[in-house]
Amino acid sequence: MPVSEAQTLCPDRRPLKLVAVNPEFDRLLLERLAVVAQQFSPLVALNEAEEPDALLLDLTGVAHLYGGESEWAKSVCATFVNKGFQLQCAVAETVGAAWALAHGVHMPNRFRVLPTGELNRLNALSIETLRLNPEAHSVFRRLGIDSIGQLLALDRNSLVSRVGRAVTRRIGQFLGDVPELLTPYVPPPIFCERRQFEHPLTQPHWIEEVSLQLLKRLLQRLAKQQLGLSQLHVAWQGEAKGTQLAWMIDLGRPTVDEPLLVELCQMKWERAALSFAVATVQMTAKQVGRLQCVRLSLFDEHQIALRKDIDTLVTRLHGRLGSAHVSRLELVPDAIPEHQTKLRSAIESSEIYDVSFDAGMVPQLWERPLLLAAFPQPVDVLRMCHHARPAVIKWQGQLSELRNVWGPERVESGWWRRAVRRDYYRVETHTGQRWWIFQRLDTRQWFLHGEIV
Amino acid sequence: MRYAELHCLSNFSFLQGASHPEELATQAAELGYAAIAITDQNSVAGVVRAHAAAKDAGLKLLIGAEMTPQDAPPVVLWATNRNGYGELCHLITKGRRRAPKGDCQLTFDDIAQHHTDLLAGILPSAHAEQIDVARLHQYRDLFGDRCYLLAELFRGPHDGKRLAWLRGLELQTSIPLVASGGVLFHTPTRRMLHDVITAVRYRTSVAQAGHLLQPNRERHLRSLGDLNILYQGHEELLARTQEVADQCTFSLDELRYEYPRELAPEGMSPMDYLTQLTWNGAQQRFPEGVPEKVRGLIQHELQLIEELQYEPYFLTVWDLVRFARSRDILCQGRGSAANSVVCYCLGVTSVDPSRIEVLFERFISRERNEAPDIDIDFEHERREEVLQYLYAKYGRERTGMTAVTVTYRPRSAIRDVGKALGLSQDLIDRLAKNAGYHSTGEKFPTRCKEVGLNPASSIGKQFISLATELLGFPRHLSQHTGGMVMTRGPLHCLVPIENAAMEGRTVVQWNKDDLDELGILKVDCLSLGMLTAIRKCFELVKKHHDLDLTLANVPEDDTKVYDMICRADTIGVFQIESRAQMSMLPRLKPRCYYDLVIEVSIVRPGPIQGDMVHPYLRRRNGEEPVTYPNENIKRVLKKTLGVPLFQEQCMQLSIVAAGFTPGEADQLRRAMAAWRRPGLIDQFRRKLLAGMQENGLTGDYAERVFNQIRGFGEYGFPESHAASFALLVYVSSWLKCHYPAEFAASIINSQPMGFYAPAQLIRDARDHHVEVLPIDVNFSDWSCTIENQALRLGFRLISGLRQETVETVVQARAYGPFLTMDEFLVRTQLSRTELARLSDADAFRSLNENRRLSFWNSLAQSDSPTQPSLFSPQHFVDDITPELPQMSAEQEVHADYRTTSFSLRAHPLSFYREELDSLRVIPNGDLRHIANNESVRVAGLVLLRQRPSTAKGITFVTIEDETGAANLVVHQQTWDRYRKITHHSRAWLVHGYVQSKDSVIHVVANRIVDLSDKLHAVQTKSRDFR
Repeated sequence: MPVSEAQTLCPDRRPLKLVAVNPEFDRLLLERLAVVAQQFSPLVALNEAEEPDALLLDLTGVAHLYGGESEWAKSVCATFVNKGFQLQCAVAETVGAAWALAHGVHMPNRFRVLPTGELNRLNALSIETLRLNPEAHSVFRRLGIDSIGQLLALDRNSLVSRVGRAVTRRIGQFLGDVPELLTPYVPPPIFCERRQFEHPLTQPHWIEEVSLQLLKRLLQRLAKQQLGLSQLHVAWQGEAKGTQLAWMIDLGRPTVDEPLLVELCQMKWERAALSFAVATVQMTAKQVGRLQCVRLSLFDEHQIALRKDIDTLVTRLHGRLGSAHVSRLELVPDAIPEHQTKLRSAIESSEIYDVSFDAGMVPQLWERPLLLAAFPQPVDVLRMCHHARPAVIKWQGQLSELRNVWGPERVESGWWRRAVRRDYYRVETHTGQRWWIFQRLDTRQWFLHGEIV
Repeated sequence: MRYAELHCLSNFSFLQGASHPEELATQAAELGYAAIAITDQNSVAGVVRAHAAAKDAGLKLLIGAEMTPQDAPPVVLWATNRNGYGELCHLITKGRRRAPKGDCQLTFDDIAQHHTDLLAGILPSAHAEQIDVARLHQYRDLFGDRCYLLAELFRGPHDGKRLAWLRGLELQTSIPLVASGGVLFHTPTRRMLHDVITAVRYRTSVAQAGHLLQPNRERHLRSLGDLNILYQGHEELLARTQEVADQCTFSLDELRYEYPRELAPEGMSPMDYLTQLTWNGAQQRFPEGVPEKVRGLIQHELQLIEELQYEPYFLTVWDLVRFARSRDILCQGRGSAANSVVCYCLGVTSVDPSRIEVLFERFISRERNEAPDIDIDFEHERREEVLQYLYAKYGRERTGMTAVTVTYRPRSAIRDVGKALGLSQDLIDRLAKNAGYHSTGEKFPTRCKEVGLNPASSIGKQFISLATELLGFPRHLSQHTGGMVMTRGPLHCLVPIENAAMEGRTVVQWNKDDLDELGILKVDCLSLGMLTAIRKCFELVKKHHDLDLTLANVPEDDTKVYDMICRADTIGVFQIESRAQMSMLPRLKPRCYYDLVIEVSIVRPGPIQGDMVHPYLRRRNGEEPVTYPNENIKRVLKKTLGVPLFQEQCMQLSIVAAGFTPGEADQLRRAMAAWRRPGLIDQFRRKLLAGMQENGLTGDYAERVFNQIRGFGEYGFPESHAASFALLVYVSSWLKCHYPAEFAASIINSQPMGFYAPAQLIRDARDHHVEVLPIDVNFSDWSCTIENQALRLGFRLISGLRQETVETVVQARAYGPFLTMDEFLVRTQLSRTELARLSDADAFRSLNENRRLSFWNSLAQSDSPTQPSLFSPQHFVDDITPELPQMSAEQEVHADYRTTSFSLRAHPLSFYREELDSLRVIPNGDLRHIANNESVRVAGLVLLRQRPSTAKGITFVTIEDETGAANLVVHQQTWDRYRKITHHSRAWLVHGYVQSKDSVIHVVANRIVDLSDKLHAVQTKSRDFR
């Protein structure tokens, strides 16, 4: 349904509240819940789907610890409800049956336990709860098969040739004829190295030494998995609450360059004023990333080396200054001189230097000053020759007679942000200075925009 | 100083030029240029417009084009004389035909083959001072002293250096340098629009277009003073432009259209041949001898035709009609000249001219030497055969299709400008949806404000002015629906031909106005679905009743037929089947052929907007005296009781009431049609009112006449067309009246056409006591057939079924009917999907297989039909009959709706009748017993929703239950209040009151309740019209 249509369904034309789909977030949340659920079962799995939305718990040999399946389910429900979640919870002899029960009967925050051997009690449930593929559903809809009971009444061999094995497998999994394996959820490793001291340390160089050892271990662990560090969190904690020094080192790109990291860490520590004894040192990789591999070739070695140097520089600057403060200049195709360059984050623009314009009347480098004045500076034109070309100008109190005047080059653009209309002249003064001056076509005022060297 | 602009792109270089050709010509004249060349890229599509404007302004126009050979620098070519123009057209044709639509591929060699009467101006690259000198020599060697180098300066970073470089080239190659402007727009103020179309062209926004945009606005037509400064010290470059212009003497006025030669047999002049054909035809039309009056008319018309030299035109039309007849393709001519006795005799039309008094010469003006207007309608399924005949007869190089210049409309302009200005997609959507199809103008800023774009903000102002400016700009050339151009010599010497989007089609670069302007013959071969249906019906009637019908021999003045029409029992009938027409019929009560002509023309936006319908009805019913301001006007308006209803009458009115010349009247008609120039209409208004004042017509009456004429400008309908349409109305009514089964079958078999879906047509047939039989594998064909006077539905009604599948079934059936499902499967070898489609449609009833069982069986088939092999199983149906739940009657009906959008079993609503009764909802069939203004509740499935632009926001909705249809009137407020239902629901319960007049019943809705939760399984599709 398009948004505009959804809007019409809102009462009283109130604005629709839109929340973007975030499958990644959903998955992370479900994984966290899986960890929580591990207290109830040694085997917790996410359902197998592109975007999983259910937890499957194996309670073989567990229930008696709680005093029976019902008691077990009760604690599961209570735990999640206390955490503020709504859940549908069902216990049955097969995964398929539990699924059908949990999806087919609306019972928010309560649970249902189906005694073994009573699968036929589910016959009235819709076949939608059998985890069938959408094609099978449309086939069954056309055949008028709505409930599990109706489906089970059909000959299963005839079904195979008509709707495929995937469907009969699901039926088998519901009935328990076909085994269903659960893949337990295992949380990803956390890259964190930590050391606690019985006797807190006070000597900064010891603390640093310990920190560096931890860093080294962290890097070794990462390197084994071909991962690099892109955000490092360093924390020194004292015994008392609230005594902590922590640094976040932002690296831009994943790296395992130990000397560089050591250097960056030490730079941070240099300025630290340690006012407490450190009991815990912790080095955490807050963000990791795949290391980039570059295949070396014979001929562009120089290029690669150059790039690598720049990358190292960028990484180092990042670590020292923080990501918000490292940017580089980029040329932008625009007719108006002051809009021809732009600052961009250094991480984003990885190219060494690449500017190519292929259309328009592009000025040559020698026709423009390398550095523009921060703001165009007013000049007075004291005398003009024919066709309104400047002949004598005064800038900062100094008179200059113009020997040569080239132009005008007309620039009229930018009407969509702020219209600019100027006639530019390259001029050469009697003292040999070359200036780039312009006249605003609307106010007829003159400005100096840069010096050509 | 004299200066001629030699290099100008108009907006016919799509998305490159930002000015209309006529603007360029007018501006050049104002600036005092000696001449202007319109040199669009590989195109002369804009030159006719420029030609007209230049002629008005007294400016010389050079015809040329800019071309970029793949292996040489770009060049501007100018035609010096008629031959040069032919070469130019030929060259463009060559390049265009090689490339896909919109492109052009040329090489230097192509130019070398067509250069004798062309001048060349080489274009050095604008971006760099580099050029291959060898290429320049190549041009010089080819063109000799007809070759120039163009010096274009745009106040770039180093104009001086560039000019010096060009001067150097001139010396080096001895190709003379000449100044030119590289013009992209006529005034500097168009620069913003140019930036916008550049952004559109590169699919970006102006803010991101960067160097794709021009750095300044120098590429306009510059004043002579500016040019003098720019080329200071090089004045001879400016003077040389005059030299180039002087060499070009060609004018489009020299183009003379010549009719094809093969119209008359060897040794016979076209006029003699036409005369002979006419008299022969007259003999056939009047077997008992040609009446004296007709004889006189024929002589008079032939004389006029000879005088105006129109005989080749009539012969061309006759030839088409003859061909169509030889292939049994039904066709009919319409238009002013089509209603002549000559055309009746030639068989172009079947309207007996004695039945309609249309004076032939009234529409063929002696003053304007313009081709007469005859459009020919052919069956829509077979028009292609006629076009192919034309291509075969005159050859591809002498035949082409008229182009249609597709221009920016409010919606497309809003979308493109919005994107270029970087508005959010969401806002653009809202703006586009909120702007009507036609309307912009004064209301546009309000419209923008409504959806959240402040018209006073700077972006709002820019958006509004740019979108308004872009309106009417050509976007691309498309093919006209049927305008064919045929010539004596090769067509590509007259006008370039290019590929159309459709495979195998070619179009000329000019549209119908351009062709009119230059007096080039075109014949409109249009397609009409009703002709297909009538032909199919004639065939069925012949097959089952042995009655040979033609358009001309259907019995005239059948009272039963007119009775039926007066009852508005006209579903499926040509033209008068729409709701508006149907509600007019009982009021107008047509009793004769001419009443039908009026009926066809009166329900049109023109008469409705000009407020002519009610005065006419009042006068017709004797409720108002019929008066005329003076005798002259009486002569014009007598037939229609003093109320102008036809386009011709309005033109006539401007002549007799305001003293216009026929030429001016025609200009007026065109000015009215050109909706994008409001200034022009005012001009005519003053003239019209002044003229009427002289004739003593003032005040209200004069103002009303103007409004009537204006109403007609946009949507007028000419009597000459209505006359031909009325015949089809009568014939289709006659067929419906006497052969309802055959009529329904032929209309369903000619879908898509008309106003109603098959479901309504079938229902209507059943209402007329036609037995309708369901689709069945043992009885049905692809099309609907007649079976013992009953209508047997065809497989074509099943959505998604392929015709080949059906052919397989029908072929397999040739050896005898299928007895069991097993046998059907073996004999047809259909794939699983095809079988599933058939079983969904319940087409196995004669095999005692219901929907679900046959679907179950079809599932066992493989999805790709294979040849049966030795090893494939010999039987397909399981022995075990599965336990499938029975479908309820309601489910069956819903399933019918899913596959065929209708059901022969019952209406989905009938299952809820008791419930509806308890809600005091009455069946639609009982509406006629309800008194006017009484409140009422009705319910039904939504069949169609229509919101005519003339109805002030009212939506007309037709709903249907098992007893019939009800016509709802939903006012804008109600519509908006129940927005959720009106937009999404397909089943309504309506509280309202009855409005009935002259047996036309409407229910005005006050409250709407959604029924779709009950009928969610019914998939109906409302046919929506605007």
